[in-house]
Amino acid sequence: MKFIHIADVHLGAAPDKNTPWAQERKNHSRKAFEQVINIAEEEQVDLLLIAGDLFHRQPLQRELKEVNYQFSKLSHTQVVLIAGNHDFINPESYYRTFPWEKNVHFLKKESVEYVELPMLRTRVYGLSYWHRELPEALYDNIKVEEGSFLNILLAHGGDEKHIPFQSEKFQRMGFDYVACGHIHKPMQYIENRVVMAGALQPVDCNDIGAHGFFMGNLTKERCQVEFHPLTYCEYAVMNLKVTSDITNGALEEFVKKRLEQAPEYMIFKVMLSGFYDGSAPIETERLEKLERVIQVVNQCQPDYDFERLKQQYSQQLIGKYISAMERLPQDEVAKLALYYGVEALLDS
Amino acid sequence: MKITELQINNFGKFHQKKIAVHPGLNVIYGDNETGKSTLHQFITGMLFGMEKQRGRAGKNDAYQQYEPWNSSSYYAGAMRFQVDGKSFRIERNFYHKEKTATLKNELDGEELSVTHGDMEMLLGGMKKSTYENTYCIRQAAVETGKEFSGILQNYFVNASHTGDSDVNLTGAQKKLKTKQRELEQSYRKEWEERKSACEKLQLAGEIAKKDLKQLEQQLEQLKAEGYQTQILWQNPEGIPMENETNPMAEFLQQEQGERQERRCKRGKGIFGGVTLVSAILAGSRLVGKGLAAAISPIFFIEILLLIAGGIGVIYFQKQEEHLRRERKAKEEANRGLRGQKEEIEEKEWTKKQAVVQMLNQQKIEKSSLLSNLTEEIEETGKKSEKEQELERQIAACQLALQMLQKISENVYEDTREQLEGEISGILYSLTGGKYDRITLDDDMNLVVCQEGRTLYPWQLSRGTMEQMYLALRLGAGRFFTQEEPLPVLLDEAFASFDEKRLESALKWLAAQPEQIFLFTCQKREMELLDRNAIPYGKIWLQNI
Repeated sequence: MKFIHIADVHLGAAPDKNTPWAQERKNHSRKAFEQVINIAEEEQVDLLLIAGDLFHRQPLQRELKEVNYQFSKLSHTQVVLIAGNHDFINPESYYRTFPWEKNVHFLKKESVEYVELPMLRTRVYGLSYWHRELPEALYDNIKVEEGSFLNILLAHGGDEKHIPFQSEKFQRMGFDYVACGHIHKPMQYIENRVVMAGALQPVDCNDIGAHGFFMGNLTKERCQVEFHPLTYCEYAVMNLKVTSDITNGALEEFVKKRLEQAPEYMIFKVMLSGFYDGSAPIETERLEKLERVIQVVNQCQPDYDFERLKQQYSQQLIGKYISAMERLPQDEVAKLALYYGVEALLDS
Repeated sequence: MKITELQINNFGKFHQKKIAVHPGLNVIYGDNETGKSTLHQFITGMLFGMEKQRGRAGKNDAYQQYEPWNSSSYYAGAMRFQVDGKSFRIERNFYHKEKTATLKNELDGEELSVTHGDMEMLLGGMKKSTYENTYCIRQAAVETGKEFSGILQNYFVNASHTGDSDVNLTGAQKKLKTKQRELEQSYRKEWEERKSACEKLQLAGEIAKKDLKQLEQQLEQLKAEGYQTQILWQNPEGIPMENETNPMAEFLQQEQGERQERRCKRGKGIFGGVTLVSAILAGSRLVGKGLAAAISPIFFIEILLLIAGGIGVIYFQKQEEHLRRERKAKEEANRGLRGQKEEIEEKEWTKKQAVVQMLNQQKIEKSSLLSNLTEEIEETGKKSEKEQELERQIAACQLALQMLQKISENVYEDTREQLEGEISGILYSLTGGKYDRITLDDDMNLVVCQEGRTLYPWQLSRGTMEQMYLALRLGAGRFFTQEEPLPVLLDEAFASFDEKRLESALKWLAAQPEQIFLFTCQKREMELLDRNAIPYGKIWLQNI
């Protein structure tokens, strides 16, 4: 049986607000979803598994209709989906009453149920979120029906507040494949068996790295899945080690060049580390204004030799200031305050 | 530092003069306009150099004032002095276009570099401004200059006994405050952007809430009319999809059709009524006419009338027959209508029920929208990463400022006490023990204690006040010099002293380690020194 496993599509999400590319980003989840549908049709995939959070928030009727239309294009594929913590079924949710296409199976119960797909000789288990948070380990004791059918679980969660689970237990329960969702980073808990699909496309700039879907073949004997990245958008970290002789202009040029070299779908988080000239701080705003830079994290330290300064100015304000600041608990604010103070004292 | 010889090549009115200097007390005597200030300026110029100021400000500056009278490009002199027992010679040309300064260790002939700060080192790190405010007490400027309190404050803060004294507390504070302000502005900008986004969402939320309420009211009313308003969500097929039928449009169409029918029915009713009344009237007229004819004497007319009546009767009977038929047909039609009406009512109920369901759907849609908005408002309510970062930076500025304040206060207290001790000692000697405790208040004003009373200088006599300031400047000067004391230049500093005060001041000065240059236009200082057999150098300006 050929299947595609996706999760966390987050239709309707609007990432990177207040950026020039916000409008474009808004469409990425929809485009990626449509591409998956097209691939499923082209490949005549038997089963499309959607492990929750298809929508970013409560789906409106028209949104469900759009999605249902996409499903209706599938001539061969059966679709099984559940609601996750983002699109959980609230008392007024359209999910409750929406009439899906015949090939679509929505497991909307609060507790684990299954849909039987006799043509595929497969049962798909799962439940839908009825609340934003579900701290109970609801996947821990599922009774899997015996027989020759393939048993698949759609599992959404995996952290403390959202149905915690342990991948080893799934296998003991007898599932042939567990299609997980919720964590946005794609990973295989147990190779080819318990797989976190990850967000189909990154939902915010903290979803670093490649995103896409898993496609695979499942039989009673073996399972083989493969990750297929989609490239509407990818966030990447640009780690730059700064030395104190670099100028702001040179730094900007350098980042620009790196941006030019990178594929167009990539958006960067620039992380600066190393040392900067204490009298010429790094102007992060200049980098933030560059296209395809979403964030600049400046972890550089000024190249002050505090020990030397302390000795040189031991009886003076600078020396006393450094000593006094070093006696404080060294949190981020205290460290910054040390730099700021020394910078101001040396500069005036 | 002790000056041993002044060599004026070309400075103001002096040309090619060589003056030997006493290592202790020197009295420079001369009438007005004999060059006291010139010599005064020459000494400070030799020590610290002299800059020509640019533009308008330069018009009356010292450079211009003492420019040589004969040649402005040769504006030079030299000075011998001793530091730590070693002899040095400094030679300067002040001419602003060819400014030069050479410094030589006369013992081993080693050339030192003024530009690299060797002279500064020999001066013990003292800055020109500090010197001018302490050791170099000018005519009519006994009260400390405006800068002085600032300099004092900075020195206190730095407790500058060693090393660089350029570190400036007020400058650093100003820098940090500016930085903090800038950060706060960016923070505010971020915050306001978020707030306005939030407000937009809240407005949308309010509208959705209002719509929802209206829908609920409508549903409530329909429920009161007996319609099923419970959402039958367990049975999804129970609710028709919007695209299958359009109940609202159908409902409206139905409404309109009914209204038209009603209008039509009302019209028919009126017509029927009129025909009936006219028929009854016609009948009664006929009967009336017949009776009248029988009893009337004018029979012919009666007959005619009867014929006419007969015709009328036939006519009206026909008319009546027609009416009856019509009525019958109408009754039949009415009977049909009644059946139709029931049917319509039934149909209307189902239609209206469909409307109820549609309203319910709208309600669901609205509440989904509302809950999404609420979620978004909640998310927008959280501070962004950038805001958090800015908050940290602002907090760091505040912490830095607090720490600077705290340290400077500590240092200030220590240093102030030391300085106060120094000044008090000098004042004690100068006043012969009359005032023994001089302090500085928070604004760097002098305060003197006399028999438990706190007095400000202006509350004292001019002479006492000048004693106090002299003590302050000498004390501060000593306090700020790191190694050897620098020469003290006193320009008419004792003009207001009475003889007794002057005597004790001179006695005290002569006993001090500092070299002293006393500029005066009176002979009484020299007389007093002679009388007390105090050795001193005498420089008569008229004679050099």
